[in-house]
Amino acid sequence: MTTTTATMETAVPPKKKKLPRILAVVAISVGIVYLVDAIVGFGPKTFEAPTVGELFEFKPIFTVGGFDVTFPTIVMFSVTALLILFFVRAFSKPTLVPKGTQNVAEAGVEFIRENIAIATIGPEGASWVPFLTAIFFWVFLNNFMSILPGVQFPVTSRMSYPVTLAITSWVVFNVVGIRKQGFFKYFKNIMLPPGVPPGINVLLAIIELFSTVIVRPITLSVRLFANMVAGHMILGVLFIASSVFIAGNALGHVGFIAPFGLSIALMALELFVIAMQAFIFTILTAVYIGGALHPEH
Amino acid sequence: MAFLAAVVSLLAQTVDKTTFAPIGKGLVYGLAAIGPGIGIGIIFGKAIEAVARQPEARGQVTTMMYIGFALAEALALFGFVLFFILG
Repeated sequence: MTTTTATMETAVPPKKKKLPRILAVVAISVGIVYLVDAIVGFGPKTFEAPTVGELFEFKPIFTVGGFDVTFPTIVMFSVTALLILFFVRAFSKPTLVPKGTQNVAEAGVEFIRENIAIATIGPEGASWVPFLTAIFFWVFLNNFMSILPGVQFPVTSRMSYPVTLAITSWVVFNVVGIRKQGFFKYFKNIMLPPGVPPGINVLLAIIELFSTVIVRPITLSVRLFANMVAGHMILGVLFIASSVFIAGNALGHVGFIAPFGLSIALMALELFVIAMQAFIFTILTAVYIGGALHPEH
Repeated sequence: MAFLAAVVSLLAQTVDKTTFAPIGKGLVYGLAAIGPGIGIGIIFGKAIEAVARQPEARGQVTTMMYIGFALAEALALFGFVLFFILG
């Protein structure tokens, strides 16, 4: 009896302590906000939704041989270098029992192999794992820059990067299809799927050719681009809104918690979108390659 | 119809072209999202039904679900991009 009351007494006090702890965290954050406000000062006092130009256009930092180097370019090259370093470090001295970076890299490669390559292309999809792995991790990391504090800009929200990737994947699946089936047979298999009555054949041939050759690369690039643009704009609007709240009066110093908390929650949603867009880009590339390798009979 | 045409021509004469531009821009994305919204709902609903009926087919169903989702979502994103092209 005494022991149960003792445990109950010890169990209750931490619950009561929670409120002061939360208050202390709030007080410290508000203090930090005041401190930053006093030192740096926050931006505009009235809210204006940021335009596309403000959010997505960068002035060139320096020029190399006629090419303007902007902030996204630098981020993209650093990410690529980081990715190469990571995989070289992970697989330069492979051990039978993986540990450290090799463990992480192997988990990633195995995910691509089992869930994307073999699931969509079939057994010979295993030879496409390097290509798909490169696409997946490159897209994922470049998307991830969207929510990485300090960078906070998704590289793939500049149209040129998804377009380049989509063209790469378009060239790859067309070349694979032509090499596997022959030029005329490849286009015949695209345009004339089996089991279609003769009259509709002609109409379907045009639609199929159009959708394979033109719509596929466009949707592939626009999907990634538009998702990243939308996410970045929502985060931008909310963070600017919280900054405006702080720059306002004393009520705003408390009220900024609403847009700020919402933007933190949306960053979690953004992480989901980032991973899913990388996954979808990779899996659609794999599906297109699989379609070029195995035409419908 | 004649009445509608009269109203439209009256509006065209009296109202500046840019007056309704923001409404049009807003409608572009809203209308573009209706179809894909329904489509994505059907895709995920059916995928859940399929997994509930045959839990061992989860891997294949999930893969195909994401492919269908991506294809339907692209249409909504075209509307989103068109919003910026208009603006």
